[in-house]
Amino acid sequence: MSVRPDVMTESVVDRPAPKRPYLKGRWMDLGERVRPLQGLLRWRSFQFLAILPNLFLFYFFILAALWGTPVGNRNIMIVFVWILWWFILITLWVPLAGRLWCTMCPIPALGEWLQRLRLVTVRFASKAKGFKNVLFGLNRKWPRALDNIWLQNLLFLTLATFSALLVTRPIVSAFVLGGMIVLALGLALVFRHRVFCRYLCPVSGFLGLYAMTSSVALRSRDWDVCVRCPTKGCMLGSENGWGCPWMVYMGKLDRSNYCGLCFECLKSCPNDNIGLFVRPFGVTETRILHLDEAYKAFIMLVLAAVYSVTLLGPWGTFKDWANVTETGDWRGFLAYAALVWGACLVAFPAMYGLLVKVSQWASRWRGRRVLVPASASANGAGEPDFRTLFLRFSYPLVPLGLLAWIAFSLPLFFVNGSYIVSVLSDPLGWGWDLLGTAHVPWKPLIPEWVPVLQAGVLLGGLAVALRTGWAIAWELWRDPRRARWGLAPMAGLWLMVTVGFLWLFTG
Amino acid sequence: MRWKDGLKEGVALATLLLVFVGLPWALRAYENGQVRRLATGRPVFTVYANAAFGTWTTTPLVGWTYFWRKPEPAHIQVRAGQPFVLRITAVDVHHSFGIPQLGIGPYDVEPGRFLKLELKVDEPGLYTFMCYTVCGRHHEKMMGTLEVVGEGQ
Amino acid sequence: MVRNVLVTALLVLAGVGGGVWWARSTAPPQEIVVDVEARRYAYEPPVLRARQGDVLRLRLRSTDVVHGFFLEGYDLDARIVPERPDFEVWRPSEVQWAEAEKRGELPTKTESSVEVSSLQGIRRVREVVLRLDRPGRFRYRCSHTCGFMHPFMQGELIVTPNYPFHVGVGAAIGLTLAFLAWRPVDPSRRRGTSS
Ligand code: SF4
Ligand code: SF4
Ligand code: SF4
Ligand SMILES: [Cu+2]
Ligand SMILES: [Cu+2]
Repeated sequence: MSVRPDVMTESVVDRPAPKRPYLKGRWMDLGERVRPLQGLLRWRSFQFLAILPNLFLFYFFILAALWGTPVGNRNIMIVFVWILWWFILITLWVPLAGRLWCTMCPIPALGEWLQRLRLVTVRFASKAKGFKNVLFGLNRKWPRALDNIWLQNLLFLTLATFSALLVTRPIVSAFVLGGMIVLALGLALVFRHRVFCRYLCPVSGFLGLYAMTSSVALRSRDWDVCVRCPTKGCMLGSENGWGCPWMVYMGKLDRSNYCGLCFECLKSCPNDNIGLFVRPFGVTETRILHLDEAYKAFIMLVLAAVYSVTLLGPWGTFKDWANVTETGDWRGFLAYAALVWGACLVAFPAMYGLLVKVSQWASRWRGRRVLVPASASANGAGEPDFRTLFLRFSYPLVPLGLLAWIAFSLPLFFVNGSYIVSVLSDPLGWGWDLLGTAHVPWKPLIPEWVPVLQAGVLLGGLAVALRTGWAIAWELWRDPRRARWGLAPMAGLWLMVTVGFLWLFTG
Repeated sequence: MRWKDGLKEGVALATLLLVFVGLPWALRAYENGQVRRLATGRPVFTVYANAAFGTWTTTPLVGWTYFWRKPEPAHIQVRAGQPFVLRITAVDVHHSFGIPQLGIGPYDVEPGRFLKLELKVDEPGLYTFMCYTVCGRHHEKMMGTLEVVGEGQ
Repeated sequence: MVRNVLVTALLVLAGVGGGVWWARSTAPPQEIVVDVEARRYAYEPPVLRARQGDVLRLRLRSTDVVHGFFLEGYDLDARIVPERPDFEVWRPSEVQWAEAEKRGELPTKTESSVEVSSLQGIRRVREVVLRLDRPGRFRYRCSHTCGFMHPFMQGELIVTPNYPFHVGVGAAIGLTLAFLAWRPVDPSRRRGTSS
């Protein structure tokens, strides 16, 4: 692996090279290449117009859930949200564009519009101290103790426990969706900015985590410009754009987790210093900084396995446990819930931690006679502590988990895709036939090729995990022998996970 | 606020309001049109087949009522010799609909689909419609009544 | 760099080869008779295992409501009505159940057995016979809406040699070993090593 110079530096020969510490490998400033794109993203009406069709659709889905047939596979709520939307989200938007869904997401829109008292334009008070935009509401600050994604993790796990009900009953989906909208609205009136998105939205947690892999990222084009920038418009707002609703400061941002791609900073930055970059998938942003993020990676990976067993597996018992309102088997449901929570929060993290410990011992043992050069040990390289290892090695689980989710979603879409065609013609199960396709029979698409595709996707995930894991081990130990021994237990874990999913999907 | 901004906000707000009011209205209007076209002046009855209670019912069982409404067994009243339309749907599993005394059916009733029957009964009386496919624990008692009222009654 | 790519290619190839070797089998073909019981929302047995060349005789029953049995890869669909010893079968590539039913083309008599490969139209049978000539993993899914979890009602037929699985595992092992054998080539990161 060789580090190439940023290809964009060629075009700015007469200026000193911009400071872009986040660059690794090949990045391309899309906005600079494709000028109309930068213009579009800076256009004030852009986000409103992106949200509008989705708001319309989600409103339609909720109406369909209330008024339409309770039969899930004949109701557009279930078919479009849990087959089409989910599939597009996980296989296209997240790997290609990270949080691009958050750009057009209608859930927090009502709250944000109320907070701003504007739909497209900006309110600006030049004399205000701090934030330059006036927001409606109590404008409270979010408590510091909750400035993490633990709440998201717990909320997501709670929803996941009831997922068998959520993805099969239109009305449950409507309540969850409506509940999210109402909660976002309420919080917008109490707190400043999008605290719902940042700290509570169950979708947000995994969007943020998996956005680390995405091929698109928003960054400050030159950190030096930001250092000299007096207004900090991206964070505080300006007459052209709102201060970042996600409470992100662009001048130091090198991770995509919490940037909701609302593109306000493109508008509010007076120096046109924000660029939308294209980068290789999965390998450039590998720093997990906090335990809550590492746990998100565990939770997502374990849940992919859990759903593969309960929803896509052949075993009726698990389905009966998860489908509790119909079977009334509350004891089974409790066992199922305990299993899911235990696996996500205790069993998997414990196993992972143990392997990290083994990795630490192995590398230490292998390097017992190797002198760590003073230059390396001084800045902490060469003898990483347990916490560092635990956090750094949790990143490869991110591409691994994302691709496991993609593999999980493939049959969902290919098998049930024909419901999309028929539901389009009869969205509420009212006996309509808008397009003449209402009676297209259910028929899986290329079902016998799905396992092959799944195996390929899983192997791809393993390759990216190993590739990033190898780079991380190298960064941590800076010594090939110790890096190799330190990597081995972790690689063993990734292999085990891959083989497990291979068995679930193809075995 | 500059007038241009005001205009933009106005247009955006109007679009939003249009969506919020227009969509439910459009759905209702289209559905009513469909039913009216089907009816062509005849009375239309919508019957829902429910396996959890084992009933044919005219209580609307849609997304938000299905989980808490107790469906009453259907009792449909028509005048003898008057044409009428039955729209029959299932809200859970397969059922099949038939009225043995009149030699109607059995017809399959699929979940989330509508079976449309155009009927006319000349002989006054009380007819029972039943389910011809085992559909769960309460299948045996799954019955509804069609009351055909004679001229003088 | 070249070395790393070569090592990776070699080890993955070795893994694939190992997988193929692991998957193949030499046992003689046999005849398997299975009673499959459908209920909301699973089949019993949930997994059918067989070898390529085997003959599979399936008898389908339902214990609660109407279910289907759509078997991938073998072009078979069935409708299972509860409390009946027989069931209707057809080839979904040729027949559409809903349309045939609308035209009143449903069978009236019950046959004892039919082979899928020679199946035409909709037939009512007590047993359907499959010659398992295609290896791999094939799911059988419910094709008649039978309740909330209907889209997830499925079982699986595994006909060995099941290459995607065995080759996948082989390749995964090869890939993992390859990365453990990788050598750093990045000169900008060679600082501070003692090698
Ligand atoms: S964080 Fe959640 S609610 Fe907020 S924009 Fe993203 S998906 Fe929507
Ligand atoms: S406003 Fe622009 S230049 Fe100033 S800190 Fe933000 S991104 Fe940097
Ligand atoms: S940094 Fe903030 S303002 Fe800029 S796109 Fe991301 S969320 Fe929006
Ligand atoms: Cu019934
Ligand atoms: Cu079924």
